[in-house]
Amino acid sequence: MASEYNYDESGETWPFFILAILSLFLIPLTIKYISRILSNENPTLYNESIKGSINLKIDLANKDAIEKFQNKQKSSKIFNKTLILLIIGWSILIYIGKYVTKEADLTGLFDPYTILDISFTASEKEIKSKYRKLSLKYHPDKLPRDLTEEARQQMEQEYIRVTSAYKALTDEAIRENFLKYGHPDGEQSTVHGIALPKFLVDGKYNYLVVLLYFVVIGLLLPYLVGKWWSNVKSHTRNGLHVNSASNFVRAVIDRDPAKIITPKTILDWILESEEINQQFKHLSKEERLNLVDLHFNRKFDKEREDDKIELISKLPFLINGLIDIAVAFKLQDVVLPAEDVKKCVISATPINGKYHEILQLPFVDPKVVESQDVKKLGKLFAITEEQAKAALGIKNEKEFKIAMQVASKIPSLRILEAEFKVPGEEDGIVPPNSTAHISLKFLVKSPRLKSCPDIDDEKLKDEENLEYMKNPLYINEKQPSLPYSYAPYFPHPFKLNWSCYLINQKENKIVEDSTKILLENIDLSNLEISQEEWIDEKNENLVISTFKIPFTQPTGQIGKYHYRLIMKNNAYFGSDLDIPIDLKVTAIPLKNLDNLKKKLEDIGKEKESDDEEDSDSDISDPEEDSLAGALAALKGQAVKKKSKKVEEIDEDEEEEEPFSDINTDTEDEGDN
Amino acid sequence: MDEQPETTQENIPISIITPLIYVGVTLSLFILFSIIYRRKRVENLSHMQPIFKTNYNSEIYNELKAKNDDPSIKKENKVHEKVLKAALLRKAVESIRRSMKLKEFESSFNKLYQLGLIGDDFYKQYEIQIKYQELEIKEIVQEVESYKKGWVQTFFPLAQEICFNEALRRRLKATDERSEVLTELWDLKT
Repeated sequence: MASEYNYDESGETWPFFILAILSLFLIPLTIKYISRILSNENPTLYNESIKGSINLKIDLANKDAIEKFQNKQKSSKIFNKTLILLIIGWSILIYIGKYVTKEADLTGLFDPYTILDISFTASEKEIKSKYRKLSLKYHPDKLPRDLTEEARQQMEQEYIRVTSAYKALTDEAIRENFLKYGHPDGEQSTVHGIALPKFLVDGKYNYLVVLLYFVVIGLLLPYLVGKWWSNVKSHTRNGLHVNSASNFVRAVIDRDPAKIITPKTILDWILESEEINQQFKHLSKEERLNLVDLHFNRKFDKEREDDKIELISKLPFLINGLIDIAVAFKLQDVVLPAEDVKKCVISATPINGKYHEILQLPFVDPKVVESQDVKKLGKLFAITEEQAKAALGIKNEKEFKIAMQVASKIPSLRILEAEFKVPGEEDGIVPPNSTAHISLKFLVKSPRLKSCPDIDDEKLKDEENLEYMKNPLYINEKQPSLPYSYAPYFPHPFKLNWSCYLINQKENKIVEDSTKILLENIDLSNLEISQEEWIDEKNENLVISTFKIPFTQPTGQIGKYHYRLIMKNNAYFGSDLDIPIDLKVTAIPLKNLDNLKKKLEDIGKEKESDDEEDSDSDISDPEEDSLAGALAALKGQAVKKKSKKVEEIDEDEEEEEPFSDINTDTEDEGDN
Repeated sequence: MDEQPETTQENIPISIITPLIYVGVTLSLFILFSIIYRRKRVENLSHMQPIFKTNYNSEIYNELKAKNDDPSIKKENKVHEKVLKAALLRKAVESIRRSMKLKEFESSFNKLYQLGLIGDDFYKQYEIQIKYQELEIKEIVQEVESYKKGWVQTFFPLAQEICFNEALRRRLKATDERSEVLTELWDLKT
């Protein structure tokens, strides 16, 4: 290669270089920005399309403050640093693209097809005829006389190009040159260039380039990467500040297991988290507690309203962060009060007391409510309207109507069936070491509906199709998603869901490796049906909902295990669920095993013969394969289980025993 | 191929020092960075709130021990050996409790760290705490041996028993408080 480089004196290349780099950043950023704005859906509109949702607007005393907060959030979504960056970036891009870049000089490129204006598939005849036509037009002898000298020369040039293009396609030697080097005259000299003007590299300004290089590579890059990294490190994967996370862990570890964790304790932990400390520096801990208390009591304070709303809006996120940590520690006695606090924050009800179900309704008078006997939503509909009005302490007729309407649409779950299931097994049989899930069949019930309809067992069976065998959890996603919840006192909208926790009764702890499971899809249309439809024997308009909860561990040895399933609604009181579920692991009957073995052999034989005969049977193979595989696995385990395996596992358990003994002694006894 | 005539090129003399300077600058930058980074990290760690609250048992023992070792105090004013032994026992009890807690939560800590739910620094602190606890036990063993050879065999089982007994007592004593807390929680005024 020549030691001399071409410099980009006329500025041909570097604009493209910059364009490429800019668009590399700008395009993904723009897509992200736009998709974030578009994700802003309107909860009222969304809820209108969902049956059983609550779509009532009420005017609160702090309406303005809430609106202000929401508008601030909305505008911060649109007008932020990203927008400035995008505007600057795109304007530079457009400026460069429009004014600085020069038309690329393509005259050096030689393409006989474009010169002759024919397609790549043109035959020799076509080429010839086209060439004739063009040469007639451009041939020096055929040019009209009145042309200027300049035009004449151009025409001659064109003629040469046409001729060489024609030759490139017809003449063997020239064609070879063209194919090899891309030009009929043979190899063209290649040029290596630096996309910088010469004065910057060779001239006296070269130190500028060196300096720039040094600043970018040596200082700017490490600084940016470092900053990004420390930012990544300062927040956990869920977006919680690391200091908050550490504080939560410390609180969870060093707590006195003899003491009860109350919602109040949780609130104390949350209000000391780093996020709150940073944002509400100007408030002492008492003031923060006071603000939250104001919210719990649905009182308003004009001066501190903005602070209050900001503070309230932060809490559920922080509580969720605490829950994630507590779940990892398997501590249900932290998780459950935390869920309760979250609900109190969202529905603006006091954390203590037993009237949550009634107090969560809008317009109620807490003093009146707490002095009477009605505690459950269902009771409200069992008494007369006058009594209900008195119980709620609402004097205004319209407000009373709204409160009752809300009450009638707070879903409670009526369990029809809750058991461990293994896809492909006969009903209720759970073999050892199999992958099971909890199958929940329930009715969504409005408090206004009385008694429970009889449902045929047939209706509770899942359709055992291929998809179900592969992944029974797919049923969860097939149901319609839940609407936004009704929370007029909470500043921003969020969707309804249930958090599910599975608790091991033996240890009174959350099951190992299980996480918070969210129930986000249920059909709520039962909330809108009438009492007659509800108890109708044909159950025509009744929707039976299904929820499948993955069970993270294999089912283990033969025996009976006791679990407790807790489902906590994120917005409403009276929608929670707390039920015991027993897991009974049974051996597969030996008779069945023999049958299976025979079947397996038959299938194996069939397959062999199938394979020999034709290859068209491929389609049915995989299913047989997977079935055979599963059966083989079952068989293997069933056999193992009868042999020495049991003893080995027993020994393992014993080895672990001393530890769990210690642990239960020091930590758990007090929880009971 | 077109042979281009060799252009007369100006030879810029580059001294041998230039690359050396380059390497030197880069290396020193790296070293500087790593020193600052480490110093900052250690400082961060030292500023972190400890996992456990103040260990009074250990503080009491150390204070008594220091008094005992102080040559300026007269012999009759010195702490009786029995008191020292009792204090050491209490220190061991707390140490055992902490080790056990750390051990119990080991899998949870690892899980949290793997899921990225706690920061690096806090995990480091946890590891340091485990090590500290090991060292403390070792130190206690030495102390025990210094009072009476062979006492360790009975000392630790005893400490453990005290630890469990205390755990039980804590729960027993907490019953009244629990009922109070629950009364408040459920608003059961009597």
